Amino acid sequence: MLKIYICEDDKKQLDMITKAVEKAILTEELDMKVEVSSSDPFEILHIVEQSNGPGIYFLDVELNAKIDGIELASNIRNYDPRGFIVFVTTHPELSYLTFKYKVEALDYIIKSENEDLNENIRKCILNANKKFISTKKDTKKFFYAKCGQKVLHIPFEEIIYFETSLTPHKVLIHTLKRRIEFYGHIGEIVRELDDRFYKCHKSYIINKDHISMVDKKTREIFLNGDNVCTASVRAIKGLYDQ
Amino acid sequence: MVYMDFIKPLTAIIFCLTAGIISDIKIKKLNFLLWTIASYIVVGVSLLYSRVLSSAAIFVLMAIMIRNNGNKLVSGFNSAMFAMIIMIIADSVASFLLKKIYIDIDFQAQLRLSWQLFAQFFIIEGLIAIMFSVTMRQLLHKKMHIKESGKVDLKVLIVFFVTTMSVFVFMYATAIKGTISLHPQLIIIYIVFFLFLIIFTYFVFNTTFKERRLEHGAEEMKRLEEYTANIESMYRDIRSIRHDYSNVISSMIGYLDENDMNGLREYFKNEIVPFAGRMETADNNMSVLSRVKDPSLKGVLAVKIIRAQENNIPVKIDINEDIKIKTVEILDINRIVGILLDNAVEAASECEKPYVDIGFVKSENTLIIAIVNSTLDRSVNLRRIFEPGFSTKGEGRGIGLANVSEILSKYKNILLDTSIERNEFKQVIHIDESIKEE
Repeated sequence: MLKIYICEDDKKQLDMITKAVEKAILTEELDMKVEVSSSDPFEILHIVEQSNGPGIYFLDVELNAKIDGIELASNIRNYDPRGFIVFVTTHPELSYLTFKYKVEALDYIIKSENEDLNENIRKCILNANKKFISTKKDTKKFFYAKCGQKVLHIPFEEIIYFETSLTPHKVLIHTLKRRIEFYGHIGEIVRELDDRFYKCHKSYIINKDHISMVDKKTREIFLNGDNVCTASVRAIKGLYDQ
Repeated sequence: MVYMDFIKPLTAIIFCLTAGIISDIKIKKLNFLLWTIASYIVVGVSLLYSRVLSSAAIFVLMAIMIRNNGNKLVSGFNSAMFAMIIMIIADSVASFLLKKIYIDIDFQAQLRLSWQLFAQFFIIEGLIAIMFSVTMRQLLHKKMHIKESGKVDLKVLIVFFVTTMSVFVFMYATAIKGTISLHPQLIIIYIVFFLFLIIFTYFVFNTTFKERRLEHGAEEMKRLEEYTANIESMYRDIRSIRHDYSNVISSMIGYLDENDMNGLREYFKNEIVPFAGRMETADNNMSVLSRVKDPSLKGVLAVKIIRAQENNIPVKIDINEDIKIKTVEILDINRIVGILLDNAVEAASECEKPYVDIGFVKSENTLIIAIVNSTLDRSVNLRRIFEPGFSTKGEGRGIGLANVSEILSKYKNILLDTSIERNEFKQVIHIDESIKEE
């Protein structure tokens, strides 16, 4: 069951949000409940500390307290790394990148007369629920690209190939819509992968699921999205053997 | 003996190796083999005529090899010079040692006749040369930034060449007379010259390095000036807003005097609400920039943002904490952010609904710089845009991104995440600030 936490300093709005959440749970028949709804961020933190499992958090950014909603969210992240955080704010344009990259917020809701609060809250809850269910039964494997404590999760199936960069000690990951350049060694990366990947050259690891064509003569392997890798003589033989 | 004509040029191989090591070039094995064979042949042929010719030939050949493999011509000559001196020293030391061992034979004569003796000589000379060159490489490249020789003043260059050449000629003249093996003390003179050359190299490359630093400084200064100019123009903006504001108040008084409530409502909706919004973004962007604690970076951001706004591209900046970058040189960050913003503005300007969003976000020990823009090209090939020279729209856009990649290569603690989705292009730089670069 997903627990829902609501923090908003304005009593009237707190009430409105709580009602909207309860209504959404009822109409969608979801396995959730409002754990706490409060105007005190420290009360929320205290309860999060003691509970386990991911929750859904509706947090006002401008709290009338010692910490603001963003700080509250990063504190919550320490206890609930997989929780779903939704910010409620009057100035979304000021900090959506912060929401996204600081606390990996799920979404934000704009407090405004023109916005339908009930509908927005319902959408957020459904989205969180969908993600929660899919992660629960998910057997997806990820590659973890690290930069200090920050880790990017890239699903194995999306990776087309790894490549050493032209500049030394950097590795590139190519997916259809993404290119990630980070510090690493091909030799070490190949150990973190499963058998759908194949090291076809000292500077390439390809995902065999993405191969569209292999030219044995020129030893070129054509991959999805206009990508071409060269294979070593030994590797191309090995590829045919598999 | 005829076969000695084939064996003697083998020294060229050691020469090649020494030159390769000392210039610290990355050269493919096959390529290197070709160079070795070429120098073997050249030295072999020229040896039939004279020793001077063969030495000069290999010297030039090595300079070309180093230059061809990605170094400047100055570096090429310099490294070839070092290789030459190392060879002479190794040669002297090796023959000195062997003479001490085979004290009873005419060493010079025997060396020409016996291949066994030559083999011993060859091995000793090779070992000494390699040891020497590895040490020199450490010294030259780690301490003196030999590769920093981007631009060198012509005067400095001439002095440099004349000096190295005269050292070379002098050494060669003494070596040719065969005095090396007769007077091992001469090695000391060589070493003195050698040190002299090191010091000289140090000065030449160090000046270049400093010059480049100065240039960077001037660039930064220029940016600061631009920033100040922008602040002034912003101040003018604020004054005009204040002026608008008093206009608004007086119009409102007009409506109130006439008791025209409908007119006032209309006026409020059409004029005041957008006016307030405009005031807020203008105000917000600049107050947000005050959280950037590096003045030059602030300058770059201000310049780019204002330029974008002049082109009617709305820019949103999202900085919630004070930003001060510790682990990356600020000039590098400025260049990267500058290039990425230029690209973002250029791509956004082609869209119907253009926008550019910039975010500086701290998350634990990581600083994240995100630049997001609207784009038309749904089919941008993310691999190709980073290739040097690639461009979707003429003007060196690709060169910019290749530069970004090159600058980033200096830093282990940076991850660059580029993605494109639903007409939105995103560049996200993650900087791990927990590592302290030396």
